[in-house]
Amino acid sequence: MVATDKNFDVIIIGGGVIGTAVAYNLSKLKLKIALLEKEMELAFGTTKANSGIVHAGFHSKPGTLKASMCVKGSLMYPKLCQDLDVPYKQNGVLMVAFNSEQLPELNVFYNQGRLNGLTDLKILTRDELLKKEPNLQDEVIAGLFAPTGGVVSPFELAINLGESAKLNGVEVVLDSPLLKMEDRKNHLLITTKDNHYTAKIVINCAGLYADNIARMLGDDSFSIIPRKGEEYLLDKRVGNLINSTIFPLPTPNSKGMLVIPTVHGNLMLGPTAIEMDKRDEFTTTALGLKTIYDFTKNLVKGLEKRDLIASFAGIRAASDRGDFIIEFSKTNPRLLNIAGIESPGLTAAPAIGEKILEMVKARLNDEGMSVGLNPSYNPVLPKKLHLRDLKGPELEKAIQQDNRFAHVICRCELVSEAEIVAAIKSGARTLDGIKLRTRAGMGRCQGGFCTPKILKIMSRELGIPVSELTKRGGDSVLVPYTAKELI
Amino acid sequence: MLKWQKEMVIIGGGPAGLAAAIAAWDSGVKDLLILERHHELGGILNQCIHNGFGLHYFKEELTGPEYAERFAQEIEAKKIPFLTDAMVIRLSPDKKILFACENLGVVEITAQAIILAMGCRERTRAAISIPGTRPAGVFTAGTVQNMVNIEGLLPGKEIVIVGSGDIGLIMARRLTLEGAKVQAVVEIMPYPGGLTRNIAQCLEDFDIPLYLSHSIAEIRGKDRVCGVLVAPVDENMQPILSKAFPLDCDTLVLSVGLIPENELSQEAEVEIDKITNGPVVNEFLETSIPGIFACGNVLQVHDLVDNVTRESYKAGKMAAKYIKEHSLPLCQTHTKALDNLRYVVPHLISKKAEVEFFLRASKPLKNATFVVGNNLLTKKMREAKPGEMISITIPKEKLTSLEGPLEFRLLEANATK
Amino acid sequence: MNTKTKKITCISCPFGCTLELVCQNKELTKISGNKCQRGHIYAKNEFYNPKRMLTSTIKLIDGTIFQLPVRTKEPIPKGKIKEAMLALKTLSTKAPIQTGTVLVPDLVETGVALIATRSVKKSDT
Repeated sequence: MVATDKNFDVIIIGGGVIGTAVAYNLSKLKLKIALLEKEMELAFGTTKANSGIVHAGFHSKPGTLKASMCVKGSLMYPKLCQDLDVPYKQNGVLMVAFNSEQLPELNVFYNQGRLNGLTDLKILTRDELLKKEPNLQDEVIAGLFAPTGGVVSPFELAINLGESAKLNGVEVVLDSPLLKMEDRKNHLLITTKDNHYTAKIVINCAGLYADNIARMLGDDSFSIIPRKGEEYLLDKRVGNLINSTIFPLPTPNSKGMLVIPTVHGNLMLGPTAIEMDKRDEFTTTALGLKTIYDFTKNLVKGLEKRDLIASFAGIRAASDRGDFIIEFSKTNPRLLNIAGIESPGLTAAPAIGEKILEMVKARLNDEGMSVGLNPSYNPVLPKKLHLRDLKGPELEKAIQQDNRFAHVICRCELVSEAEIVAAIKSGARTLDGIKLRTRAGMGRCQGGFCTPKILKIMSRELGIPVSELTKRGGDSVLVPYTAKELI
Repeated sequence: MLKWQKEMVIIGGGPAGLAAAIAAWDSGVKDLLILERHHELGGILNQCIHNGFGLHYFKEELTGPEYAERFAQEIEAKKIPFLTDAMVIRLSPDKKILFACENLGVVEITAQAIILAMGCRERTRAAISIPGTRPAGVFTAGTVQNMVNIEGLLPGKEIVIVGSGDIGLIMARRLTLEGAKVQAVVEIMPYPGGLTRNIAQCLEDFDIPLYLSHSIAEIRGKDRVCGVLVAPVDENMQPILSKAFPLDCDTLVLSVGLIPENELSQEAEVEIDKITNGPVVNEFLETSIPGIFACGNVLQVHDLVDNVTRESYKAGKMAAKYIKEHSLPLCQTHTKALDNLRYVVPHLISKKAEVEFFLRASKPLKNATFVVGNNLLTKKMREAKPGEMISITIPKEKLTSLEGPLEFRLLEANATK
Repeated sequence: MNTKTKKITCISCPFGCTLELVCQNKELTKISGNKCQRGHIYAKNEFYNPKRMLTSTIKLIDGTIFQLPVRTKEPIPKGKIKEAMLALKTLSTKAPIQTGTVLVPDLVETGVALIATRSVKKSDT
């Protein structure tokens, strides 16, 4: 059933880290903006499975958008994450060489990084390396260190970018895949299952489906080539084996398989890079695990399969053009494509958002529309309290104000009832949504103890029976029946 | 912040913590406190509503809640202090405990002795690396037990269970009774993990097939589980995909082992045994930190709660003795599990008293001989199974003359001839 | 003479002895493999009228928990278990309740009572 028309200046399609970064930036302007996301929550697509690395920028070829957006975005991270209360750590990126044949390659990346504008790159000798990272395998001979590299929680970044945009006036519409998009001369008309929307400019941030969206307006100037990556997460027990993110020398189609100390203190191994026919095939495989484990154990000492706590797969939305696509469509001037945002897309996201702000402003100006600033814009999100981070008087104060902070729901990640309720209040509708926002269920028991408790809280707060609650929307109902119901 | 001093704090109010508290109380320690994270005492026993508990200890067959209640009632009758909904969030080597609870906020307790009785958690999908998709409908057996027995929910209609440990078998029966269809139990080992009687009464009674030497090669389903691929395994435990077959199901229940939950212990720098995943303890069940004791499933995963009770009484008594005497005799003789034995607890002994040892076989053996030390003691065993713990008490006089470590062996029938 | 032997697993205790039953003309003539008297009794029951203890839950009203764990006081005939579960489906009781309280004196004409297996206090709210 189609209800009323909704008219906007700008509509953003896709609520991954790119769509939310764009929304966050555009919300600085006095515009009517909507963001449409097909999934039940933000960050549920490629962003959810991102490795969370903030690259320094020596991997990309000089002169490419990848290089310029990455270097610029990387430098924006510290402030952005502070403003948005997103876990981020500048732990540095380290590319390591294990034989003398790799040394010239290491120098290539050093020079490439310099050309891209990185001034603090350093080639480290074996002794310097081992002093910095004593658990690197003994055969290591040299390394390229970029101190500005970091790690971030990619889904928390996207969720908070979206939340900030929402607080600054962007209408965020979830569970709304596009059925149709048509050119109506003065605007584009979008149809979803619930509504019609019009917009002067549509920004295509649809990730894996960006080419399908563009084709709705006859633009076939690029195709998405899905490339799957499997990742394996290790227990926090081994989280401090390394400090920096450890890269090997890259292969032609990926940066190789890495050892990543995540911002939350786990170790992550991966990803693989396999080109796919399908865009919704998120299986992990025995071969994937073997490939990753056999490779990464040659980088770092002490990696053991017994410490595995989770595995997952994501699909990179790479395109057939190689570089990022950030441009108004040549087929329809109201369509702005942001596509092919593979690695270093997460790092580039803040810079892409800023670039889009300028592009949109200019285009609307051309149309004779002068765009002012959003008078009530607030770049800072209120800080959320997390039991695991609270100590001493802070902890006492938090409990005094809300004693549900003292009620631990997830014992592995130390998440309290207060945080679960806050996550629901800020928009979580699914178990995965709560997990991504609070980390409840992400620890070593993987939700074994807390899932029944969280379902009860969700049911209470959302007013939905437990039997209808889902893991991530759609048909992912968790506990569909009651005992004896089927007898 | 509230700051308390206590002679003894017991972390965990399940069967281990309760027995330890009662023993300590009866030994004269009155300034003690049990900290339980759940809203009631009894621990995981409250969700184990099946019968089969207490045959050794109470000489009658009880259900989990009945077994737990006997201890909880004794705690209440003796007015032994306890707090529920109290979660320990930090533990330090100097025996400082930080816990949070809704009524009190955060409290720091400095204790003379601490008994670790936090129990264990379940191994997950990742621990056995099952490939495939990540749909809703994959749960561990204990989670399902909680959903069905406590919350009155049923996670699915058609179930496949991975792992034939006791919880998996018990849940096969429970889910069947509650209206689900259990398609199969799949076990990677060539023998079942749980007690033989549970194979009989939980699977055979309901004609549930048990696939030994099989594993799940793939989980299928986009949003919700729609099936699994089951494959026999080769001698290296790798699935033989050419012989794999699909099973339809909407739920996959994992019963693939338990891990003692020692994150707090590790924070307190207690030494952990890599095999048991529990603390290294001496014959007094004292960990590497004097005054910190451990008992129950946090020390080693037991198959019978009766053994947990016995072990925990001992821990309570010994912790009380520690408080009275400020230290316990030195234990410097190591114990070692060799031939066909996976582990032995305790790890260190004094050689000055009788000791009860708990051991686990690493594979099933028939007509084996259990040998302690250099023939200090031998015992014929008609059957030894990894699923059934071996316990043996060695008298003091056999230990005093011992030189070097105390070695345990389980010799196969032909090897003994 | 029609002599048959059958092996069963005793479920009386965690030992799980393998019992060997010999029968002639539908009569049990020999039981071996049991370590104790309980095994002997189990074998006889299992041969003539196999019985099982049934444990489940029923709805609980006004309690601090919502499901009351229950069991049959004695084992009931195996063939009656399905019927018993169907009876439990519609059964409910009110807190407070004590362990051992008889909830149904004669469950599905087995002559065996259904009892509560834990005590539950009345909820404050």
